[in-house]
Amino acid sequence: MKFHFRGKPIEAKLGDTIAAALYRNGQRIFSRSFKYHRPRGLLCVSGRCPNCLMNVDGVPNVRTCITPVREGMRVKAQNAFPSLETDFLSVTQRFDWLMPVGWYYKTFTHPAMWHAAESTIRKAAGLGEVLPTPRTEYEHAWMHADTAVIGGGWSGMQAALAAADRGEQVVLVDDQTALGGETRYRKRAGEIPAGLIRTIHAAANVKILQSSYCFGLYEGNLLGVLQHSPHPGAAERLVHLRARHTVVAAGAYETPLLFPNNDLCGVMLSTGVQRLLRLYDIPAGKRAVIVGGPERTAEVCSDLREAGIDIIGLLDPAQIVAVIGSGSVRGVRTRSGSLPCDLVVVCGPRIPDAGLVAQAGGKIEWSDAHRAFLPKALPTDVSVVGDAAGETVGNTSVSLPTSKRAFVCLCTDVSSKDLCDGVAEGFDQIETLKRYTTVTMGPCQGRMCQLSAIEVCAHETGRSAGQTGVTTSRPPNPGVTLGVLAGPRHHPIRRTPMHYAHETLGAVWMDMSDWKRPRYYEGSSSAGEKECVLREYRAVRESVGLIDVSTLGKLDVRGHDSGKLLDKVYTHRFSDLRPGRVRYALMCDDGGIVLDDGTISRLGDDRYFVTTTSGNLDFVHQWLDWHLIGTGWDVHIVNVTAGYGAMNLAGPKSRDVLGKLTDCDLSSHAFPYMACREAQVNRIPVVLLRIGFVGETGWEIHCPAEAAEELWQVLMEEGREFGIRPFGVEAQRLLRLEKRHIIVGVDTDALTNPYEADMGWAVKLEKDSFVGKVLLSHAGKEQSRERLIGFVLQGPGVPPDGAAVVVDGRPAGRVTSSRYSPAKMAGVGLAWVQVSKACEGASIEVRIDGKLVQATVTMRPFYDPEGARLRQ
Amino acid sequence: MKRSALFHLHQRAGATFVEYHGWELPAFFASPQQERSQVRESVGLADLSHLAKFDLKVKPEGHCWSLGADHYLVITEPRLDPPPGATDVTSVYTSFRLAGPRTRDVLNKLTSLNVADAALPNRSCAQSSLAHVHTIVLREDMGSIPAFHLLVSREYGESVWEAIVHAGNEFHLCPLGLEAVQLFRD
Repeated sequence: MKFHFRGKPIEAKLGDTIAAALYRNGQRIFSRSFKYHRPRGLLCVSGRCPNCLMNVDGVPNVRTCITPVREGMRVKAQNAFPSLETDFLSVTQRFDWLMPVGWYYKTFTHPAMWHAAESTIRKAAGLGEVLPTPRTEYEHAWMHADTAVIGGGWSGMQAALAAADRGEQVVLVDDQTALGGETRYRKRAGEIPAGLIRTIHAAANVKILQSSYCFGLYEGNLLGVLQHSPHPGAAERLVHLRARHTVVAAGAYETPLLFPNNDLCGVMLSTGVQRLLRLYDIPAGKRAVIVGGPERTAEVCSDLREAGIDIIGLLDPAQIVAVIGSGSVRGVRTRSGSLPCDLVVVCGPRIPDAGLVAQAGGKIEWSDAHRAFLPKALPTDVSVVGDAAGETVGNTSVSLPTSKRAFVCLCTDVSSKDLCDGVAEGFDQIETLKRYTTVTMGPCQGRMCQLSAIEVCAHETGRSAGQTGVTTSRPPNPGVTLGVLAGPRHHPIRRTPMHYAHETLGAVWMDMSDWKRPRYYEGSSSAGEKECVLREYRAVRESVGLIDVSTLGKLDVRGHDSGKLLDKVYTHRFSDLRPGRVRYALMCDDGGIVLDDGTISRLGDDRYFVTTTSGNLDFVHQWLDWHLIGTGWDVHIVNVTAGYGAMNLAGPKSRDVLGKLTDCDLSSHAFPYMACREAQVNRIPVVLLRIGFVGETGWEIHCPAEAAEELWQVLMEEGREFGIRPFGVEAQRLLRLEKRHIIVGVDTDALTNPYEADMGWAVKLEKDSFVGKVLLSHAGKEQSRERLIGFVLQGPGVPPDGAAVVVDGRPAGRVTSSRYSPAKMAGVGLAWVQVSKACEGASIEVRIDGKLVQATVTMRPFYDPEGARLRQ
Repeated sequence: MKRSALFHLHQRAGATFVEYHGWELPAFFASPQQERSQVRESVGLADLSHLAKFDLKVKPEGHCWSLGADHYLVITEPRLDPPPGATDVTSVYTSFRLAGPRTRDVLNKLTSLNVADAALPNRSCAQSSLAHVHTIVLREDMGSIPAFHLLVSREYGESVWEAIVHAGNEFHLCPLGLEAVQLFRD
């Protein structure tokens, strides 16, 4: 397999990770550190340290030591200019004395200082570059298990198998590419349990997620799992894994020791050396010095000898004066002399990996016997097994050269000296020390540095590690890409039945919540929005127009007590509505505040057809259901919004168009304004409502959704001789504004009662009781503060929504809707003003582009105030 | 002719249409035999919006789906009569059949609902969010082949169909025409 590193092809063997292939090909520097741009090489080879982060196929901060090579992938270094080997910004380490711990907070407190430095700092800060065009191959998935096991090592496999034997559904999450845990690379830990692995793979009720890590354990045993390359079409998958029981078997991981220059390339953890050797058949060096306590050195020595690596020396960290080398290791200087070598193998303390337990509310406590923090007081339904519980962990104490500079945090270059300075400045609690120095806050989230930081803090403050305690563990750890959290870029879209007819007609779309609605129709013309809207407006006023109103909420309400329920919930009376009639419907809450409006048609004795505004449907449905509870009334409410395509055929010629397609008598005598009929149009069963939101003769036609496209097309066809035009939301808004019809939520707000909105006629206070009656009875009598008025501008311009209304030089209200009215040949609108100004003919001023324009108040519609056209 | 919310999508996918009880339905996309073997081996998706659906407050005679307290759903072939007291909701839903051995793998990418056999046995139902849309999930195996009937509010049909197809890509999910669906019924 081949891939590209810095534009050059690199050969990789089957099973290689990116880092392994690069190491085999001689690459030693893998990254430059965050602050000082120090060269860094492979350290843990297990995805736990920040040293191998690179940019892979445009994605920053990829942990190359655990990312398998894919053919043709493009790998780049990050945080280094011009190259990993020569990085200009590495000069910063010469000036580290200028940048002591907390220098950022101390230096940039003055605003002038910050402004001067900001652009430079922004360029230098951060790690990696965000992909300019987001990738699409992120996925989500959900899984359910009786038992979830985190970790595919010996203990994890045992736990999984035990649960499987009990007949449970098991999901085993393993962050490595194959099961086996440390047996895969630590010869002395035992032979790879091939039999166990075979049994697990054969178990039908165990699902194994390989190359997957668990980054969070949330309430109710919900595990966040990130799965790499779940299939060739996806880069990453976020698995929401819900389990009854979680077994944490994440093992223990090794961490570095503190000595000067402990971060040079060639200083590697012993498990990292073993992984390179056993998983990828790569000897990490030729001549090695081994550093560390006795508990691991024997095993490591034997492994190195077997690989043909010369062992130059075996040292306790306290013996080291410094590791020598610029970039890569050239030797180790001790008190008794120098040892030349190209590899320093660090046998560091092992940390039980129980961060998930702490996230879920478990306690982590220091154990003197293990010299490690162990999980105690486990949350319910979480257990910890194996090395994660400290089974084979037995660290020796390590003396710390606190006066010298050894790197504790590799992510953000925090040294032991920085920590000592922090403590000296008073940040002597581990949580405040963390925030002040940023130790444990980098990409590794404390995996490499937490124990060292605690030990330094404990040493400096004279406390024990147990008294010092650990910092809080929070998900996600390890980090996850924002892309995978966002998931596939699928946003639901609601399309009306006539969607494609609009598309053919050249609709310009607007989004109303998830709905797509035509704002206006561009057609094949090159006309702008204004012209198109005016064209549509004229068609409705002068001949005939057709608009898709399928987004209206529609409820089918049936049963003997339907009228009772509607009387209770709406302000008007509906039990006395005659079948075949329609009434405007206004709904208020207990406080008398306007919630929604629509129409209610009585289609039969026990059958009503209720429409609501598009956005409030679900609310109205629930509101009706809520008020039905406990009444014992016979009412059956079904949301039939999606079942009906709805269109409004409006204009003086609408009767001519509709008449060609139906036997129903459409004359005003037989089918007056505010009447409804069930009829056939073009042999399609429809409900016709003669209502007039736009102020012309017209019918709202509701037909089964599956026939709506056909009906739309037939109406357009039959209307052609009259010059029919489809009209969009924009023209509709203009048409309704000329009639002073309000839109709930646009012209009303969360404090509006019907009287203020000039709709007291829709409230029947004489009804027995209804929602909002008590407060509306008062509101009807009392003088309200504000009123919704209409205004006609005396000068040019159209005010924007929310424009200020000014009277006598003082603010007196605000505009809610306004448009240029072709009927008035002036700007018109609705506005809230103080009651004292709300009288016919009063003079107000409206602020347009910073200028005050004179306007006249009117309480009547701007167009056809008598409503004669509606009734024609 | 009656058209489901997915008509234009089927047309773009190159379906061959047929009339069925007044509906213009896709007869097949590739070939009925090919579609059938895909369902046996992996997973297929069919548009069943033409089936008649009725919403009831009281439990009717015969088979119905119990969606909640006092809420029942009856699904029948288009030619059958509605049960008494029912509200016809045929047009309200876009409905899909997702069938095949990989059905659950596809559903697990779209919904947090547990669709395992133990949690949702055959002939049981649930309501959940699927592809961010409220969905009625009816488990209705076809013989030994796992199958689910999914109902979403009609206007979301195209959007949800596309999400299911996208999620099913890795399993080579294929659209099914009426003929393939009928092959399984016989």
